[in-house]
Amino acid sequence: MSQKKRLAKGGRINRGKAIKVMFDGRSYQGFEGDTLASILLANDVSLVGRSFKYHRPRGVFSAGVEEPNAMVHLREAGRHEPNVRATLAEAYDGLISSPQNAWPSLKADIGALNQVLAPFFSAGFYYKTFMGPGSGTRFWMMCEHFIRKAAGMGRAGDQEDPDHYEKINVHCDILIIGAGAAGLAAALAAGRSGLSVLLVEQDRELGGGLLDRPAGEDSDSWLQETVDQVRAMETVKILTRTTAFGAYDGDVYGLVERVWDHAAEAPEYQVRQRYWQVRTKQAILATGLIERPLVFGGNDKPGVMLSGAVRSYLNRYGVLPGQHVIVSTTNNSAYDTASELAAAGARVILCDVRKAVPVKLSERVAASGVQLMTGHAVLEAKGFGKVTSALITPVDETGRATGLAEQIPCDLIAVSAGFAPVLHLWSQRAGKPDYDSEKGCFVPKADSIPSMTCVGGMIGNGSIKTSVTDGFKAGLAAAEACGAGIEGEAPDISFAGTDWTEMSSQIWSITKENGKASGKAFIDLQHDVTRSDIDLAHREGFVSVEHLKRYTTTGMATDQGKLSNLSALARMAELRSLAIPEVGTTTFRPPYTPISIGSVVGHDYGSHFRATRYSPIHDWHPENGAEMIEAGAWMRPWYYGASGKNLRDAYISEADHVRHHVGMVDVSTLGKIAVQGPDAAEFLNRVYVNGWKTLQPGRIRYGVMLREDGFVLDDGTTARLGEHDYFMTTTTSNAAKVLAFMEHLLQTAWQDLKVHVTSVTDQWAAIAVAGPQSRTLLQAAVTGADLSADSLPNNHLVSAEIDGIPVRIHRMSYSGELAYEVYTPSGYGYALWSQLTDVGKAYNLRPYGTEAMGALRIEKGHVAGPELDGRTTLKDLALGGFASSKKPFVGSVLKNREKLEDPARPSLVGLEFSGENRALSGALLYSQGAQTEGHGEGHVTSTTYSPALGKNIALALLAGGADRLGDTVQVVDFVGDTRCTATVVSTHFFDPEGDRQNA
Amino acid sequence: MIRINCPVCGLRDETEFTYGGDANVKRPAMDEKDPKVWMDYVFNRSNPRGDHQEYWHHTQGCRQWVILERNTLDHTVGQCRLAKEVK
Amino acid sequence: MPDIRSALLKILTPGHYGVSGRNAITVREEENRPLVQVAGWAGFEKAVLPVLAPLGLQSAGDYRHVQRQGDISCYRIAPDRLLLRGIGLTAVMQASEEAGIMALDLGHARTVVRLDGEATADLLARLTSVDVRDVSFPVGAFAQCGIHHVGVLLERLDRQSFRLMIPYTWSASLVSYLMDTALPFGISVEEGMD
Repeated sequence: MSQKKRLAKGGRINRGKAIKVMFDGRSYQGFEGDTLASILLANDVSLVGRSFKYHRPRGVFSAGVEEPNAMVHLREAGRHEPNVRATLAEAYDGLISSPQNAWPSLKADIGALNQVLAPFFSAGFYYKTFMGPGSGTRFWMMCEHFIRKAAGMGRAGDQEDPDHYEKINVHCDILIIGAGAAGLAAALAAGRSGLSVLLVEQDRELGGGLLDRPAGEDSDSWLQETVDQVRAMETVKILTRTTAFGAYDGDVYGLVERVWDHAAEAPEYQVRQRYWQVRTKQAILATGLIERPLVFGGNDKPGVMLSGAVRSYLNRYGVLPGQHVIVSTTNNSAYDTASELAAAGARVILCDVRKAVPVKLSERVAASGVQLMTGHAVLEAKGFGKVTSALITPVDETGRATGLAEQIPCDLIAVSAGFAPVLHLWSQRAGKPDYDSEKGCFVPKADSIPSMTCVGGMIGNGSIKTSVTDGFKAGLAAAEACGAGIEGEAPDISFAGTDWTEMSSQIWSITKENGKASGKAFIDLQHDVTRSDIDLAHREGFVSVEHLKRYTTTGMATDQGKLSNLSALARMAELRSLAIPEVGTTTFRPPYTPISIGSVVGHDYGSHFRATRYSPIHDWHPENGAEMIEAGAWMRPWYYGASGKNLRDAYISEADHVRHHVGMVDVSTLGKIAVQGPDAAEFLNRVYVNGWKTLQPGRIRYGVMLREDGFVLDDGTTARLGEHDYFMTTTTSNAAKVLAFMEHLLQTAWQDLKVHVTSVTDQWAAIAVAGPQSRTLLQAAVTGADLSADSLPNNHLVSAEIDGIPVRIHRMSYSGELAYEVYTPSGYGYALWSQLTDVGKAYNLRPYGTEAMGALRIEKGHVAGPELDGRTTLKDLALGGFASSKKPFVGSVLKNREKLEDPARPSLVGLEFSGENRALSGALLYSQGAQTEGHGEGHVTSTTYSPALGKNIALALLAGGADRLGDTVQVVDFVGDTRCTATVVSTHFFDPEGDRQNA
Repeated sequence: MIRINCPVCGLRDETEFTYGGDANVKRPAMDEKDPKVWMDYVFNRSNPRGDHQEYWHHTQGCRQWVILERNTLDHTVGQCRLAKEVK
Repeated sequence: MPDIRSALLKILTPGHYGVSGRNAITVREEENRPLVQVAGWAGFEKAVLPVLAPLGLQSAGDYRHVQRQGDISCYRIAPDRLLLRGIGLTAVMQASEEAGIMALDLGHARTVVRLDGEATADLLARLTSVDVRDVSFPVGAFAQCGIHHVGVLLERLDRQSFRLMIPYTWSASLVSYLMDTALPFGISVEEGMD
């Protein structure tokens, strides 16, 4: 029969709209407003999943975020989501879900064999069996595959998620988390101030615990009125289906809004989830409570549920989960559940561990026909696959049986062992909570964070009236703290609740007379940690809670111990004969509940993983067959398809072409920095190792910079454009670092220098034109400048025009050929490149990419990124000659440290290979005949085939390299496992005299 | 996340800034030749537990270096000044 | 002289994008205008006055609000730096030199994008962590802030109208990111504007 456990009336579901959901291949009917869990319960589906370790049958245990058992796979294909708590999954027509951690099927699960083997899977099983010396690790490697398959939670999706997610930044004055009675009262007060208020609720509806009370009571009309009032306030923004998962420094909060999780798909372009990063002045936490289960034998069986959850299914969803109910409680709250179940037609026995209970409650349940058994508790849940009976026993004040147990048939056991305040967000900021030994729960320390106020159930308050009053006061106080004080009276509520804190007992588990559980008593349902696992850990000496947690894994599942924390601590305290606060508690960290990676990533994936920089000339390159390559944040042309059929052919052809004709390469990515001011020359003199005081306007100089610690930072050229105006270039990769460093010096130690440094990388496009024909070509292209060797020698610059485009031509060479860098404002870069391409046709001009550029510079022995790796000194790179001895500069003292002067340090050498031999960057170097072990005597930094020399060459850092020219070394690449030998040579492979670039 | 009250730009997220280390060390004069003095400047830090002054660079904003008071124990931040206004 | 090439040539093609039936964001690239940085040292506020006076500006202004005079916008981007938009290097060069202040041409260094429409503030909240609510960021306010970790200058021209000045070489990537973020609002890309 469909929905056989659904009551004919009642609940807050929309009975006018029937929906169908799929679970485990079967279709079930429910109503709009249901969760997947409430539909399964309505349809009498007791078996929902298998447990983590023992594969025991499990059913729905709770009605909220704390659900440890009913974890399912939701949706299919790219929208597949594992580990969804069925209690949170809002049902929609067509929802598809399936059980996880069961194979081949939920009913006939092979892993259930683990129950028989359970004694072997006790606490520390993995450590004892698989770790440590001897065969352990090897045995693990053998077993891992099978264990991983049998254990664990849901299966992750393997298809791309088609949905969109986004992040939004929000600023508000008052953030209120939780929209139960306390949170709503806070919003009511804060909203009147006109300040911007954000009210956040994880449920789809406002009301919190009020929604679990019978519909139509006084509390309903108060709720409706209050919600209407809050909604009418323009400055109050309400977010439902939104979980505040993290509280961070600076009063920043992380929220995830499940925008379209309640539908199969989001409408086109709309996001499934939204990550809110909220910055607030004041926060009010009204996050409520989570009920704690009672620990007894078989307490994990389908049919054992939290008392409050049973009440929620009854009153909110119109589902009566059992006909013959035993309620086992330690506190007052279950009296509501018991009497409402009885009123709905169930036969109810209420066991209360307390011998004395408040009279008004005993009278009330008696009037509803509930059989009250004080001083009693459930000792063990019995039944195969699900609960069919319970052993009920009289107990003493420690929860030990004091007499014979009686077996009573039942189909539902509702349990309550008090409540745990949801203080997670508070604790994330403030640390360890206080223990309230009256109420038996951890509570936030009062006034620990001035900008955060905790109200309602989460401070251990058991009265709705107090919650409303305190919430309202907190709202007023938060407004006051924001400088918008207002006055007002808290709403007077006409209804009351049952105060769970009144006379509550502090019994966590029920045992036999000998102090042992009757059967398997679970503390952590999701991670299958039993009471005896805690005992075992204690016997083995794990007494710190942090060790206990990691050894037994209690509280380490996706629910992070929301149900189990206190039971585990209480048991450990008992074993150690300490009070609970002396045992301590573990730390709460974000996220409060699991959040999807998608929500945090937002748009930042794929091509938007990070922002990309494009040269002003960029579009030309792919339009003309360039293969592009990432270089830091930039995209650069790697090589052009027209040059060869693959990378190697192409770059060799391009580099060769430059040596014989003329080529051009886009060097707009160079870091460019304007250095301006009357003290600019002095500044350059300090940051570069070489001298700058003599550089005349119109001239260019190469320079090297060190870090403060004496290692090489970067190299580049600086041109003097005017009296107080210099134009510095840095390597592409170090541009940001160099600029920030120079800004730091000028704003701190060198405040007296009148110098400004400004990035002009975006202002200028740059093209390097290189090759014997470069002068002829440029002279043909320019107007207004004489580029002859006499007029424009090396390291000089001139301004001119090319086809009306303003350009500045720097004569300088990186390739070793006669070469120029042509600068033009960015917006003209593409036009200039195109114009040079046109003019260049007559001179056999070809574009070349970064790979050929690298080949040319290696042939010349110029250092670049791989050599400037932050671990090399001037001497290491044979740049020592640049350093001035006449002036101090950044790093000038520390570069002379003894260890940095050691001639045995790896220094820059060239390597030549014979035949097909070559090396990859990173290959290690060893002397001939030496054992190829350890870190070697150096490593290869840059490699290329040299078209000019007709052989493979490389730059390398080799210990004592300067004295080893002519040696043969072994070159070993352990990654690719290739080995060869090479001859150590000078780094000036090609044209060592520099005749070509000075032509 | 800490929020930094940049004297130029106002209260901003830490993510707009780059951390720049201890602001209590003073760079030696350019003509200082004693390696020990430079070693102290480059390497030696007191690493206090509690209030600390440190450099932050507003790299995505005004590009000013600021000196921020931050408590290394609880991450609360105090005064934030422009480095160039601190002699 | 050729036209100044837009960095967004391949990114902004006029048309409608995103959710149908809604145009809550209009995106246009503003035509290139001259842009100059003037920078000085201690006493900058006073020293810069002779540079500003011919432009009709009485002071260096504050760090949060744009000063406008005719076509010229003046942004105080640092204690000793101003950004002047709408006036070229040559126009301020002589006065700067006399005042001992450095002028720097940045006329090609920024791509300027105009955002209009009812959802502009909502869109910006998804792009930057700066508080762009009316109360905190009124018309005439500007901020240098990070979008996708790149420093940009954001300016409010009207309640629903914002201007973004983005470094030229980052702008294609950033505007493409902006467009993807704006799809749920519905986007109208329009021809460039003066």
